[in-house]
Amino acid sequence: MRKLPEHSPKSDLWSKIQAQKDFDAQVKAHASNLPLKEPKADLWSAIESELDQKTPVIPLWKYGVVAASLVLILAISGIAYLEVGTKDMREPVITEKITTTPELPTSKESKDTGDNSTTVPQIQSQLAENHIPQNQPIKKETIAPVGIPKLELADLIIENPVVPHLEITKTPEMEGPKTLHKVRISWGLKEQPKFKTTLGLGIPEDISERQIGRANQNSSSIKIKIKRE
Amino acid sequence: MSSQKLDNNLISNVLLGERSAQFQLFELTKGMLYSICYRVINDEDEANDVLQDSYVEIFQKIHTLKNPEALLGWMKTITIRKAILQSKKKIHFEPIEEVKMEANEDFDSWFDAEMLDQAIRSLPDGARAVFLLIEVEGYSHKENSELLGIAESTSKSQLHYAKSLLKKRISKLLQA
Repeated sequence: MRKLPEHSPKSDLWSKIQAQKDFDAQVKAHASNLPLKEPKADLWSAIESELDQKTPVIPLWKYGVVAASLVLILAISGIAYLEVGTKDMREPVITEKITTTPELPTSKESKDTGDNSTTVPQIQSQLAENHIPQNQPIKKETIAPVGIPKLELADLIIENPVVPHLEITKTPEMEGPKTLHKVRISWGLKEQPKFKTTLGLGIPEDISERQIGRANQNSSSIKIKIKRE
Repeated sequence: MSSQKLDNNLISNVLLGERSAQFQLFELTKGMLYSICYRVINDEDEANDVLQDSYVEIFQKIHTLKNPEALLGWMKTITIRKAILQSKKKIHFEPIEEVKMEANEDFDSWFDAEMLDQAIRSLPDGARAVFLLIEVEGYSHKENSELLGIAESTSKSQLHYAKSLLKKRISKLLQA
């Protein structure tokens, strides 16, 4: 068996191998080959459902367009309102003429002038200057009294009266027999039941008022008390 | 996937809002986007929720995309932003001074992508986010600082911190 010739590596191989031991070089080589991790299996379904739920994002410029159009509409309507409103305006009918009263000299003014008395002709002249109509006399119209003519009627004479003569007979007053009893009638008077005892007097006791049914009678009932005099 | 080009016909159909095209795009990109989400957030349920929201936003706002060729990058950015927003409460940037840093740590071993992935997951939230965005996703420090809302210097120091931690973790994994 023939021996194959041996080949020797380059002399700097060892140094190259040692250089590969450099930490930073190894990190750089392995950083892009780090093992990949996988997410959970149902992640896509969760993403899909969230995508379906979420409303699409409306860009900001669309909000701007909406806002600008609203402002435009408001401006146009405002201008139109102002234009139409001024045309339709009518002057109100004046039914009352307001005139200003002349300013009377105040106490301060009078003090300044030093003259406290203002005469009537002065005020009248001021009124004339302001063209204020002076009080004119009011015409009073009096109504003449209306006379009522008297009616003259002939006297009424009854020749044949239906009832010739009316006699009213006095009926004697019916006087009742004299009695020694006094009657007191009371409606709803709250009277305290009084109980009298004849204890020790030797008189037989009347217990009719002491009975509860009779003593506490209803207030709406009529009580009749009879006393002998 | 990021280097892979999507079919123009598919993109135009997605732009038209066709559900089948949307599903096709989802199937092609779900692994890539979920991996980003999961690595940033470090929680499966939260990553799924974020990815769902991201796809909904992608399909709803796709009409705003001016350059359809940049679709994949645009989808990535939306997902990363959402993932960062989700994990904002959790992300805490540890003060570097308090951590014992070993200067010029020697790293004399080989590791593969699987091992790197394990080590990345064990990083603190802040350092992990910075490392992922810069080293894995390819963002610059400036972009990273804007995304995370931190200073560029913080981004640089956190990346350095993340790398030193990764060296330690990978060394431990190799020894185990």
